[in-house]
Amino acid sequence: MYAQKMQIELMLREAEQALEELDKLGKDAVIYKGVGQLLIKSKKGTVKEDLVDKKETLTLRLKTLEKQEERIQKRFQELQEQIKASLGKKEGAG
Amino acid sequence: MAGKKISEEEIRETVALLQQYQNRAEAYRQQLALIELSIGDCESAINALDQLEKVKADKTALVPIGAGAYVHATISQVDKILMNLGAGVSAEKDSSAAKETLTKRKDEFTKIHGRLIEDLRGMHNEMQKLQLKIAQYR
Repeated sequence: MYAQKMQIELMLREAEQALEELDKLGKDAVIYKGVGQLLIKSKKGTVKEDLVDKKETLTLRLKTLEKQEERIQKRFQELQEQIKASLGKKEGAG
Repeated sequence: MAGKKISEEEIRETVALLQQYQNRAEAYRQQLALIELSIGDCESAINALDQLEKVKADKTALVPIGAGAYVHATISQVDKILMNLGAGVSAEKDSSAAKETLTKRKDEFTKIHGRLIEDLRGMHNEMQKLQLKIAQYR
């Protein structure tokens, strides 16, 4: 899950940086979008819209992963406490 | 007896911590190697752009197609460079703007490289301390 989160964070940063770079370019800038191995000439507005959509989707996926991570962490701590308590009882009895 | 038990527990924790540091250091080393590759990539692109500035349009060149094989091609435009902006988007830039972007990119990578080296050094210091602690228990 950690690797997945890192990958999404990386993709999100890349989309943000690409958006920043796009904003620096003029209206009539020549933009290409990668489709597999091909680069297709596209309009700046369309590419920007796609990137904004991508950013939103990635942000949502990141939030979902963070919630899952939080839940797993909580469960991990609960189990750790249970193990500690069980070991304590066993040692007390011994 | 109770004292020995604490020591054993402590040594176990120290060994686990050392292992964590070793794993993290290995990940850092891998990342450093990737960053070094990226820095080299930027440098070679900047050099290529420098050389291209001296070349006139319609000049014949050889384009690599992999495995050391090349095809003949003609460079129709030397002043327009297509640059990857990330996230599958590329934009056309003039040679000087492309070089500026590449230099900025290289500087960023160099900064990150320096930070990682510093962190790795810190990690090595911590690992040495832990190794000393473990050696004392032996």
